Amino acid sequence: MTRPGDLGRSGAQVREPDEFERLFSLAELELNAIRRATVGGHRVCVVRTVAGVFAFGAVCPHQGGAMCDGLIRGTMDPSPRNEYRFGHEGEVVVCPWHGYEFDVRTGESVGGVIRGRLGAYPVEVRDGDVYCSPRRRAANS
Amino acid sequence: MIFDWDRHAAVPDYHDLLPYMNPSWARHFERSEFLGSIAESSNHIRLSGQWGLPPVSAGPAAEADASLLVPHQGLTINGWADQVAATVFAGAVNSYAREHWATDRQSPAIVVSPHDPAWSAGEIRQRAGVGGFGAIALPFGPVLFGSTHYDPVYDAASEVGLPIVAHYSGVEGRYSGAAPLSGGVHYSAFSRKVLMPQVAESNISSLAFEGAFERFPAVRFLFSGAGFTWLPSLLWRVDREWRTFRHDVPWVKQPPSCYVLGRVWATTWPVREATLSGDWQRLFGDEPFRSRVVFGSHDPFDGDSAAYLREQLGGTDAGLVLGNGAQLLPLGQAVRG
Repeated sequence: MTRPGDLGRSGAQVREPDEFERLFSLAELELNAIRRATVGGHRVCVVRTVAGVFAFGAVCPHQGGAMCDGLIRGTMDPSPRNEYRFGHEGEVVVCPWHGYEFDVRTGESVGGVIRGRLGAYPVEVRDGDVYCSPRRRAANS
Repeated sequence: MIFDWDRHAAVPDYHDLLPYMNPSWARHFERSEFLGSIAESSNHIRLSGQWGLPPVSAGPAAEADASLLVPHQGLTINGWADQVAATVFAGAVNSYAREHWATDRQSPAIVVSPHDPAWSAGEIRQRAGVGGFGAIALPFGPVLFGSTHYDPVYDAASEVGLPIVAHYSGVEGRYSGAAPLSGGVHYSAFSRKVLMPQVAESNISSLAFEGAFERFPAVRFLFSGAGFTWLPSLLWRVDREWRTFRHDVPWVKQPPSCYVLGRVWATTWPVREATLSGDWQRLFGDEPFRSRVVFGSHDPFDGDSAAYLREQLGGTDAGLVLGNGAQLLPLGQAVRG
């Protein structure tokens, strides 16, 4: 599971252009404002953050919270008591129901607080437009 | 083997402690006004049957191969206003306990002060160096156990390999120096007594969320005399909050229950509350909880015998619980089975 200090930084690596669907123009995406979309029948959330553009599943694996209503932020890395170490700005989405954090790149639970993960979908920006693949990333990819 | 981790021992007369003090301090303590104020009966207003009774101790534990003796008179320093006098008193109790109570089959706990961690750390190292003690009795103070206030105590406990035993003194919720109870001040000892699980739960939650288990990975805790049926629901609740608020306590690096289930135990008394409605079989019939429960007779205070434990839990489970105390043996040799 993803530890807070292990948030992935690789971004989209899948290169299968034919599978990608155009969702929005990049200019339409306000910073940290999560948009709803459908890709290959999957409901996804799409967001532009300071860390990039990401697409992830619309349903929290905990109890079904609406992730497109969540918040984009960073998180705290493990640290000694009262020594907060904030990082990963724009790489974490927080469920609006119970505050569970997920890595927007991998969909994994930050800190391993639950076993389930969000779907994470490869995104590409081409000529000012945002494209998304319907093929979920495999765990740990 | 049978381990009884909750037997009580009392100094028969407070005058017996005076030879274990600095002579000048003894002159301070010998005044009748002072001795009268710390007599047990004064802590039990409305329990008129207690008036005039001498302090009581558990008899020899015929059933147990090894026992821990809790000097309950010493625990009451959590309610003392004079915290320097409290350390003198606790030190005298420890000296008396070593000389009168430590045997091959029973070991007293070192009483320390929640108000003075530096003194307590020194006391732990000194007493453990002499030997004969089986644990460290840390009374419930106004500061919860997870606070860095206690770091010197835990540092010393880690060094000497003795577990921390947390047993109520009876003044919690009454004197302002001792741990408060939520809701308000109760007017009787029995009213406060039924709420001791609340104090145990508060301190376990504090240990988990304040990162004490991370800071001191070798320290073990025994919550004694507070029952144990509350443990599963407590751990469910702390884990639930951690999942939501991990961001705010990044020093808690795994689910709090993982720490507690490896480092915290609770004594059986009163075991009947676990069998009345089947909680034992439902919640403690399997791991991980069954290993957390350690036989503690609470003798001589309306306690549970080993035979009663067998009657309540059945032979197999009782056998396990009677032996679970081995997990709390000093990482040395103070309790010899």
